[in-house]
Amino acid sequence: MLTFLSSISGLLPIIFFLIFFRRNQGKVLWVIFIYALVSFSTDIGYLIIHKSQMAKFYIFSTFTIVEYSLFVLFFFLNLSFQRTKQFIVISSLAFIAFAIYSMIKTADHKFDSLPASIESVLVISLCICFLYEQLKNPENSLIIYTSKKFWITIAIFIYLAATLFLFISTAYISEEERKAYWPINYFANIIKNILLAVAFILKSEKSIFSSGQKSYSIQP
Amino acid sequence: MLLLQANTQQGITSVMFFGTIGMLTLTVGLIVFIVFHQRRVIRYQATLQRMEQDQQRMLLNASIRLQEEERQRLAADLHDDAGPLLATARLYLNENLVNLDKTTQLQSIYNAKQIIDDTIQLIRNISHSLMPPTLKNFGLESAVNDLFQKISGSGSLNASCRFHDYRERLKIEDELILFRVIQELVNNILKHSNASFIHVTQNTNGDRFFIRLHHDGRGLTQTDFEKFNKSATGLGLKNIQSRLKLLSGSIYFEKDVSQTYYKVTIELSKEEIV
Repeated sequence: MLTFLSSISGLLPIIFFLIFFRRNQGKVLWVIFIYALVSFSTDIGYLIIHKSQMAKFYIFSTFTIVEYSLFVLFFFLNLSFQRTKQFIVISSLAFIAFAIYSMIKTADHKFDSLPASIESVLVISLCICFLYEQLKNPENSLIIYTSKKFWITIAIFIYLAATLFLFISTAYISEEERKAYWPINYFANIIKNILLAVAFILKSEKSIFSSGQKSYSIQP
Repeated sequence: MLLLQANTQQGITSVMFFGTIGMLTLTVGLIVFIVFHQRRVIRYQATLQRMEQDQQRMLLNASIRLQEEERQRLAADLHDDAGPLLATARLYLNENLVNLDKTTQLQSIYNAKQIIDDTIQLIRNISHSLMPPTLKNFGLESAVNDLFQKISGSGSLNASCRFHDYRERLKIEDELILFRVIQELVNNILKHSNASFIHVTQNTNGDRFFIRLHHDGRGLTQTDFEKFNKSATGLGLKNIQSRLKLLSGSIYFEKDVSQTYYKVTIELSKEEIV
């Protein structure tokens, strides 16, 4: 039941993106929309072929790479610090190479625990960088929670923070135990999808200081 | 590392449980902190903006009041001085003049001429107070010298000025603004400070243009100046501030290191005024 709910919750961001299509223009939001489509398709694919261990492994491993790439693209488009962008490029190349290598070389075909954990750590770092940049930028006079990007970042942050230890532990526990703890992932996935839907529902961003300003000219 | 140390399944479960709870707590804590911090920053920015607007409004009010006072003074000068003089001249030149004898006619015309001369002088004085001819024709240095000669001539205090680097005249409208600022400062010194000397110097340093005014009376410090600027009183000081704002200049009031006299420094950008 929870598996089904988690999978079907993936529809929320897709539906709200399409309903509020006019509010959701821009490359950044399209990246997240594509992510929502990929995530939903993966969850549905998992429901269909859940009996084949090998197929599940390849779906999860490929999804980890695609998910990481889309999240990183989202932050790459949003961040402005040059050093962070350099870090993104270098770490992404290294991570994708490692994830592909790990997918090919893993013999047990259980779960790509190590790539998923590294992905979580890297993306969480980018979430923190993004939030830090929002705080540091003096021109950012926007109330942060009226920003779509903020809600998207929070969705990603909460999802990865909640599942990080689960993904790390998966390498050390049995299949039965994994099934017992996997609801953490489902709950995190549902929260993430709700937060992404909230981001797509929000109106376009406006600066609070852009309106209602008065200026006074002084005569000699 | 923790996982490596956790040998038992129970240990792994604990690490996973507490790790997840810990990560979620940290995440939510961080989000709450960011939201509240940003709200505080926005509130602070809004307060600053409001204060700046209040300050601008006060300067604008001071500027309008100054204009009104100037108009009233002009109106009073014209009504109270020029009006009666011209009316008297008209009396001398009334229609009965032709019926009078030659000597009385000449006397009346002479008196009328005297009164008209006085009126011309009066109107010239009013015009000079609006735009000092020395300033217009010879520049700021001469205008300040002229002003100080008149002040020194009264014998109440010694006023002098020295312009060290004034080879190139400033824009005429900027010279007038600067002259008005100096005039206002000198007026304040005459009215409130009980000083025995005023000395004005001018010099430049790279792109910066400085006017410094020293006096040995009771003066203001920057704190006093800012206090007056924020209060409803101190119209003259607000006018100084608003005039200098037009030149993108700044003013600084201080007591000299020797504690014997007060110093006012006006700093301007040469690019703005030349």
